[in-house]
Amino acid sequence: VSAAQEGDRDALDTLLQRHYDRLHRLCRRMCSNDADADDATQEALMAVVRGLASYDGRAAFATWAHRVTVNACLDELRRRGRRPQPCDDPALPSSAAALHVVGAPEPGEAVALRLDLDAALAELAPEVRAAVVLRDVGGHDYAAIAAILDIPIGTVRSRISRGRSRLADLLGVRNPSPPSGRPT
Amino acid sequence: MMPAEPHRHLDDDTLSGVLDGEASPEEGAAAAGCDKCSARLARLRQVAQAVGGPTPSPDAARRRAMIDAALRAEEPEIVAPTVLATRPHRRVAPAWAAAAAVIAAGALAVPLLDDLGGGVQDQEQVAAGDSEATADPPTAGPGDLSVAEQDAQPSGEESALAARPPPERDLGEIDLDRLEELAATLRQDFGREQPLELTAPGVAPAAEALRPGAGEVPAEERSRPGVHACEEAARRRDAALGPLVYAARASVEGRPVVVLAFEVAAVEAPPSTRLFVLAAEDCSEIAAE
Repeated sequence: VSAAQEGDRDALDTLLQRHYDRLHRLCRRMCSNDADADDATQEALMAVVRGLASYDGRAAFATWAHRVTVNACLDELRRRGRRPQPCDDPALPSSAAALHVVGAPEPGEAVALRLDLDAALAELAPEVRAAVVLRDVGGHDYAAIAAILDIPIGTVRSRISRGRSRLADLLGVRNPSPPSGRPT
Repeated sequence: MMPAEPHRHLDDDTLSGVLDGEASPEEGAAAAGCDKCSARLARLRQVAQAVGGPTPSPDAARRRAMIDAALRAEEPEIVAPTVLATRPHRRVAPAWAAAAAVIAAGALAVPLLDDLGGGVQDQEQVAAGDSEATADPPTAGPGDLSVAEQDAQPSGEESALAARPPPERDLGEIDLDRLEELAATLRQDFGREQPLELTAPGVAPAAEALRPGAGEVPAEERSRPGVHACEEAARRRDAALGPLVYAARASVEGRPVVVLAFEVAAVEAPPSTRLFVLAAEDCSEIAAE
């Protein structure tokens, strides 16, 4: 990072390549379609380059870059002035597949999906979506998300919870049947 | 015998915290010891893992092109035409129509959308250490530059831009007290779809440039030495700045300044703008709103 800040173009190239995948994934989940995600990623990369001199190292570089990226995504969503649209890219694993891959507590139980993940994410308010995506894609802890979004940790917690619960409803994820013998 | 205290299930906030390792050990134990809480926790886990699952990624060529474009962000005269100039409708424009109205109304009959030749010259005087550089619009075009000024000309593509200077707004003398006033106006009016009625003499050209759909500050204007240097300086002050949506020359108490406005994306609020008045000579901050 310091080399990139000092103008080392190769270092900057390496830095962008290293973070590209995560930034694009953040944008993809935030924007819910490929075209807007690409645009937001491009804006984010450029913002990172332009703002690199202002990065002071107080937060992890990824945290700073993700803040820039989320802002780029929100900017992109506003610019487009429309709700994110689901993507039907055949290369994208279906939400059902993703849910099966991660493994339900009872693998034999079918996961009934009413909407795919992109459409479900698009139903969330952008600020709720941002909290969920920063946690589940960015891998940030609540304190980092609070810093990125400039909101209290309690708000981060409630937004993530609310977002996941809403997604579960939209995706039709049911509670597994509880075994007997414990409090229910 | 006292009746057993009814079991209290954890709420979703707590369960989500358990899932993310943000809950207390007691809460984690409570979730593990209750079938209903465990089931709800598993439900949230499925969602979290789905969100965090794979996404389609651009192919290697596209990825390389995007990174290359970002690397050229340090050279906005190259990047801006290919990336920034493709933006569609921008909501910020009406707000800056208001900006133009207020600022220009406070200025005395200044030429708007003036020829840029003087602006380039001013910046080169600054670059050459000429502390007496002023915002007065010079009459000489780039073709009339002195030998020293020609020596200060950038080379390559930058030189090609300077040889065909685009117009630049010159707001003349501005009053910082009015700047605060107009910044407040901007925030109130941000997002208006209809252009404001502009009655101040001389404002119409600038307002026209700021109507919805006018887009960002044109690439050629962004690449101007003074605008570019001060844009970079502003971005160093605030990494969250969005697109540059307005740029103009002006003066404050006779001191040449650059007026820049950026769109700012905010998570908790509607999009806003940040306004900078920076000294043309060194891009030091004179005012910001």
